[in-house]
Amino acid sequence: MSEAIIPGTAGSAVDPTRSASTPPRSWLAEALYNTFGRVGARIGAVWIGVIAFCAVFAPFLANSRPYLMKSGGRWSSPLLEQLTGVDVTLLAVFFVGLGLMFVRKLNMGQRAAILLWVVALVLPLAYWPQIGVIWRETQWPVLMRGGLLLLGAIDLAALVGIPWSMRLGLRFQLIFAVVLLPLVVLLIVRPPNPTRVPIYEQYREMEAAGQIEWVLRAPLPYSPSDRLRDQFDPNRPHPRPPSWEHPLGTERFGADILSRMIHASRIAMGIGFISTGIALVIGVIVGALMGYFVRWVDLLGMRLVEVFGSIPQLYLLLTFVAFFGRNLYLMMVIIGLTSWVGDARFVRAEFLKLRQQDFVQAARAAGLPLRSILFRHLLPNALAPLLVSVSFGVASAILAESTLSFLGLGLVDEPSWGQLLNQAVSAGGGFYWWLATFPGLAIFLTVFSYNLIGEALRDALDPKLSGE
Amino acid sequence: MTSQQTAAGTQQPDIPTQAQQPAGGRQQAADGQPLVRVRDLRTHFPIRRGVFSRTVGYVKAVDGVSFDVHAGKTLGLVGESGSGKTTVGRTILRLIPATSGSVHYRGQDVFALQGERLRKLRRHMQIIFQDPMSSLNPRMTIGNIIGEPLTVHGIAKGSEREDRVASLLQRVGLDPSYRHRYPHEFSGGQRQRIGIARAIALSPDFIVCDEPVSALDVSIQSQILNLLDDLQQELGIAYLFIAHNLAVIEHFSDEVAVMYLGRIVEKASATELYANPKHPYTISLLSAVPEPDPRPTRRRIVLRGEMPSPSNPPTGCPFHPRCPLTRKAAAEADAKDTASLVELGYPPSAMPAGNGKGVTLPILSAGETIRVLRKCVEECPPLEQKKGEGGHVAACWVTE
Amino acid sequence: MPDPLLSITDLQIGFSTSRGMIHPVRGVSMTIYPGQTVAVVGESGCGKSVTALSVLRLIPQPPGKYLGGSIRFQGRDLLQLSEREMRRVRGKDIAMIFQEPMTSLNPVYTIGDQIIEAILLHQGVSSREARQIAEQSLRDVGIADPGRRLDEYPHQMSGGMRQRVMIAMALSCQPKLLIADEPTTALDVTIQAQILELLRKLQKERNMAIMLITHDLGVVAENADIVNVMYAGRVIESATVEDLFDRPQHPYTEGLFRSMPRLGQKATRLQTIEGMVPNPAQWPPGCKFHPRCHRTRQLAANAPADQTVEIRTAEGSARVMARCVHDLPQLPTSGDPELREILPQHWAACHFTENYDNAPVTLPVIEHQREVRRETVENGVEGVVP
Repeated sequence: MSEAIIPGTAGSAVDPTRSASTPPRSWLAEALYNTFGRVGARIGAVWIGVIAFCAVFAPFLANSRPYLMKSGGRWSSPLLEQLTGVDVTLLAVFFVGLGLMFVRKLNMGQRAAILLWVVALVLPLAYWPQIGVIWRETQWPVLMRGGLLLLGAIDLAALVGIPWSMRLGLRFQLIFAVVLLPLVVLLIVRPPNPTRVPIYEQYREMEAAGQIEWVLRAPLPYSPSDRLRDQFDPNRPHPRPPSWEHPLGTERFGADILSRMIHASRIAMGIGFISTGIALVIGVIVGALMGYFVRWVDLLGMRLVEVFGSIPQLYLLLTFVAFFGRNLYLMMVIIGLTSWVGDARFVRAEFLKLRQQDFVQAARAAGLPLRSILFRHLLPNALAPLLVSVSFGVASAILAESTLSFLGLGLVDEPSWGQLLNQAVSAGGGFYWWLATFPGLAIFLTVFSYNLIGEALRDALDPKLSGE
Repeated sequence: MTSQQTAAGTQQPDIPTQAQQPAGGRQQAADGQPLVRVRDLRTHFPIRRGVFSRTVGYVKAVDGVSFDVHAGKTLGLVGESGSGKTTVGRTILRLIPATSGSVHYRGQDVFALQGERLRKLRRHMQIIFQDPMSSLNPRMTIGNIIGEPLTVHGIAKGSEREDRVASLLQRVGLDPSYRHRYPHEFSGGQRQRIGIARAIALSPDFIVCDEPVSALDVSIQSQILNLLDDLQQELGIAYLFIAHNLAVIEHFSDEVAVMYLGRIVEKASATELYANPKHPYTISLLSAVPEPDPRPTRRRIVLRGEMPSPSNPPTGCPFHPRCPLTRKAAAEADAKDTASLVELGYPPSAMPAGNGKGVTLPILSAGETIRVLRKCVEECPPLEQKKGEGGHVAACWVTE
Repeated sequence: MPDPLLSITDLQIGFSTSRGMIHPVRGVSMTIYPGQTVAVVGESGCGKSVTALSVLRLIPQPPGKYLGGSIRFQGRDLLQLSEREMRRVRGKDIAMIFQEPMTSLNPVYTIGDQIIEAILLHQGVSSREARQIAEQSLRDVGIADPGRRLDEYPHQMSGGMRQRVMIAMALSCQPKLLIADEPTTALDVTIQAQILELLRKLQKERNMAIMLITHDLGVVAENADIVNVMYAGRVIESATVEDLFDRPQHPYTEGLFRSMPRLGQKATRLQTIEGMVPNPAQWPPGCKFHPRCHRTRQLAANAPADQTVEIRTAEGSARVMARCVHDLPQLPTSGDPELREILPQHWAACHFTENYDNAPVTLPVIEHQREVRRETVENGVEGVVP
């Protein structure tokens, strides 16, 4: 058979619907590109970007400790010395993520996996001293130590499993090692170990005493927990309204509101993403199994969905706070555990529709394993409604946390927007407008931004859903 | 004329013996064993109703189908929608669970395999789909669609896989650089080529082609048919070619089986079947095909009514309510051997929709009485050798 | 010569898309006489369905836009009518049936509701009379027990049955022109035979004109009086059905005939038209068929080099006649050939048909009705007995 009469070659004219200059883009990238081409989503993204920036750089934006100071002829950086494990992890993830943006070869999934791997690497190193403390001084040794061992095992699995499954090139691995090695060494030599009960006053006292020869301070020289109640002035009691000294005023105990708000953005981001992440994982797995296996798996799954769908989230949160005290992570887990129902329903509905499609039959005919059929062939096609649900889910998780904090059942010492709102009305009935306005505005804008992005996502994905 | 092989009264004719008869000069596999042997295959779908999804009946999509596919040969399976031809293809590949019957691939019982051994078998049996839009995962690049089976079956990975994908694309007539693109960027014909590349990626020796060209433009159909033909010549692939277009089937097949209501009603070599059809359904099907000639030579037979629902097929020969042949025979036969369609429950008007005898279009006009042979109503005719070439089998009591 | 029922002259339609204006119909002309069946043949994207929809002015505007030409129906230009006047034409004078009988009926209403609504709208009768008309029209399309069928829902019927209902609905107001857009593509051959037989019978009874849009040359050969072959937004060949099948002039028509597998002709290998069906978003320059054309390649192989050009195609490159690609200043014709009457009553648009250069540019008007039709035996016994 001669090559010339292969009929096939005739059909391969360059596809006219796309010019050769545009590089092929994955569906997800295309969808995000379309989403953020919309004005609403852009506005939302800018605000979320501001919040994310505040979350990552909070200690550098508002801190009572100087960046750099010279005292008694000795240079020191109290700010860097007192960085926490979270600070270090966030910074590492931020900079690695920034770097990965410029590596063109990787797709979104690979980038996310590398970031996850960095977290798995840095987080235990950064928390090493605290972990030691918990290990030795815990109240419930069996429970806590068992939990720590379990977390350690998961972490180890991630550390080994992610690079193994990604099969990155050697060159890439080398670059990565060169970038991360100094950080790892530094963390092992000097793990972050902030003072447990910081005395912020010492720097001001030193300055007043003239002991500091040279100092570089943060733009806002107040830590969120730097309470100025000791500087009691009967004429100007706390909370004070906005002034030059405190741009957004102070709260009940004299802490700077702007500083607290900046640091609170971490909780706002964290609670949204982690609780939605938990919800997403559970929802996708349950929904995928229901939608693919149908029959009794579906029957059982739907009952489970109904049970979890009827649990009042806020009530459960209140109960848990009453029993186990105020714990941010517990909150995230509970919000996550009670909000996966919608995701599961979405995934199930999409899978039911998709499993009849020929490409799924083709995957089965090729003998692909179930894991690949579910997560490589079906899930990416079912992502569209999930993306929308996630962005709305983040918004509602933030609201849930704010509600709880507003009710006075939130976090005790860590700053949160809802907790500031809570102080707007004093026990004596006084109303402090700045304590209501600024945190309220921050909550509103953040939730609004997520909703804007969610709307834009839905609009961007909808024609795709019907058109393809 | 070969001796009449009657297996009267049984529903499963003695096909293995027939299969070993060399039919129409086509050679058999070296050891005489067919590549794929299907015996008495049945696929019934339960109809569930009510709160507790009680099974109230079965749709007998495939109801006792037997045939052989020989290495490097094509068996054409033709029938109208609802005849069960698509279900046959998918059941053989175990994409749909079979109710009973057996499928052997190179002597291996396909339905008995599980787990890893089933996955291994899937390498050898592939499928090409009708709809080039839904048969490719819209979220995967062409390279991944074709290459994933290679990785999963441990055939090639990394750069070797890339090379394989590139050469497969080239083989089906596409530019290898297209492997980074997504399905929506291609036209229907190109997508069908991608589907073919995916099917041949694992070097199968048996492919079920499920209406591979019916969704394509006329000028593209011949390209795809020629491509499939070339692949068969080069790689020795056997096809089960499912289609409703009789001309395409004739062009493409060595042997043709005609299906009606889940059964094969006639089977013969392509030349024999088209030149000398025996079953009245085949005859009317052939006559219904529009002739691309403004001065037609053949007469057309328009059958009244439609194919009944497979959930409630007529008793005996499933074709008897529409069959012209049994009517003619009944007109000449003894009155005691015949029955009137009206008596059998086919009233001319007052026909309840979709139930009754499962007929939705009228078969009788008002005041008409049509009689059919009782035998056709009571007993299902077996596939048996008819007058003509050896291996020409049909399921009809009346025809020669 | 009586007046034609419908004459489309140089119809041009544009669609604005995100990639700019595309032109799915670029100057289509055709004429239909009462009682005639005019087939419009072509592949996906050739503009045949857009042309059909535009006769009823059903092109969504925007994104669609009528850029030029006229559609004269009984002397009135439909493109000039107001929307209100147009509504009186639709359904009453011109009716349409669609390809997909599954989706063209509304699932939430009974078929009676849907037929009667149209009758009430156009015929000014009482609802009781309308029901009687609806029953009669179901009986006309061969549906038994129409009184009961009227109260059924579309999902209770089979595909063939639904297509019959669609036809009954379209014909309930006695239209003068029926546009049938791939009426049998979704149906099986035996049902297709029934439906086409039915259409022929009804056409004869009512002297109705049919515009039959299809891609199936067999259906064309058996049913059409006149055939218009469309390619890339234009009619490229127009002739009586006998003439077209006996003497196809355009290389695309030739290619279509050759590439089609036919019953009783078991060739070892099908001839093909290479390349892809062109996309309206990117028509090639010059003659739209030249990237796939075998005739221009054969001619170019023997022509002097200055009359040929190299073009990029799928398989690399090919040499074609320059005339098919560019507007050459030394020649009076443009690169994109227009429809010319190259033989009496036979129009084609190709530079390299005989007599093309001297042929007059006229509107294709053919008043012809075939005499020979395929003989049909209903439930025939004679045909079955071998």
